[in-house]
Amino acid sequence: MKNICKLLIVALLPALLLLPRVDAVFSATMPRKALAESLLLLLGGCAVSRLCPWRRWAALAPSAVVAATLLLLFWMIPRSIDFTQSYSSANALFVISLFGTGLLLSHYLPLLPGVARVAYALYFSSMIVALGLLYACQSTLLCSAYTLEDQHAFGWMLVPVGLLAYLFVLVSMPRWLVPSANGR
Amino acid sequence: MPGNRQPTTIVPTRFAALLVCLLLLGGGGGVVYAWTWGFSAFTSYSYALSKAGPLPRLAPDISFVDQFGHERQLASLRGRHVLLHVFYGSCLTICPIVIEELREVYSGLSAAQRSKLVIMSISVDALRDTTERLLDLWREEGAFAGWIMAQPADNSIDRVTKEFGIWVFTKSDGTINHSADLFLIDPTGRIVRVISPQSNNDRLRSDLEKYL
Repeated sequence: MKNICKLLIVALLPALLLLPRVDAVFSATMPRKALAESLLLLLGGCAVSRLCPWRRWAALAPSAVVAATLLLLFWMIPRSIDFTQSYSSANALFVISLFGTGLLLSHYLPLLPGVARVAYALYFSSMIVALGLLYACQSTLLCSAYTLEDQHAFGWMLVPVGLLAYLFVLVSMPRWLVPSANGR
Repeated sequence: MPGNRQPTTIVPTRFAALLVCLLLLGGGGGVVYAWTWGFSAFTSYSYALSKAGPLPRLAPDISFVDQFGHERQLASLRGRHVLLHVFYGSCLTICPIVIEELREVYSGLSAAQRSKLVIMSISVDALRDTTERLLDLWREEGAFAGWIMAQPADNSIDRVTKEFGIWVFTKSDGTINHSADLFLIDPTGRIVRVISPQSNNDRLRSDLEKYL
């Protein structure tokens, strides 16, 4: 019962973020929209996955991780961020898909072999750093909805996030590479 | 006997899982390919520009109403270089910066160079930028004879922006997001260069001097 209540609260996160007043707060600056809101949604998706004892099929793990990665890549494109600011339907898609991405990654990433998990996480955290540097150093505006200062601030915030994620993977690597009881 | 049937669970086979994975990769890759104009345009501005076609290309022959209320054609300016961009008078962000940059560069050109160049600022705000307002803006910016501030004739702004490759989006609060690129049109009417306004004035000046 306690878990169901927690699940309901977390599952309401996307609806909460789509409320005009809440959306206005997150959409005000690029770091809030593209970093804070994205992280919140990914963590919300992870929380739902932890609270739900849904069945997981190991054979579907690569497809689920590919789907989650494609969704993340899509929302990293500046044109996609522009669309979330221009159309409310695109914003709803952004919120729901990132929430779903968190859920998929949390649900299926642990089913991948340890080496694949480490490679994926190292690749992804490196990409976050590279993306941060791109946004921070680019002298032309990439997202029309935000200012150049916003873009640079977002880039400089993304770099430490990526570096922290990279460090976290390095620290977790020995644990991830140890085969678990089911042979993975 | 139907009553003895056990509930069955569909377990995906490795082959089915691989197929799903490949379909996702193909479909997802295809969507991103189309969304970014073949992995070449990742911003709204560059997408609109790429979609309009590669350079050099013939500039669309647009009709416009200038700051004096005269209806003219872009083709009537052939024989001179035209530096065209879009703006709107109520803009508080990029438009004043671009216009200031253009004013500085234009006033720094020699008389001979100025005679070969027309600056054309086209408003994307049909409601607020009336002919009178455009005339006021033109006077504020130095009233240069070779600077035209105009509105597209017959509300043809959508066609103009689409054909040039300029991204414009009007938000519900009245602000207009748009590309701030400068389109250099040569005397034969071809768009030969698209210049980003975020580059410094020296770059814009040297770019223009190459052509004038």
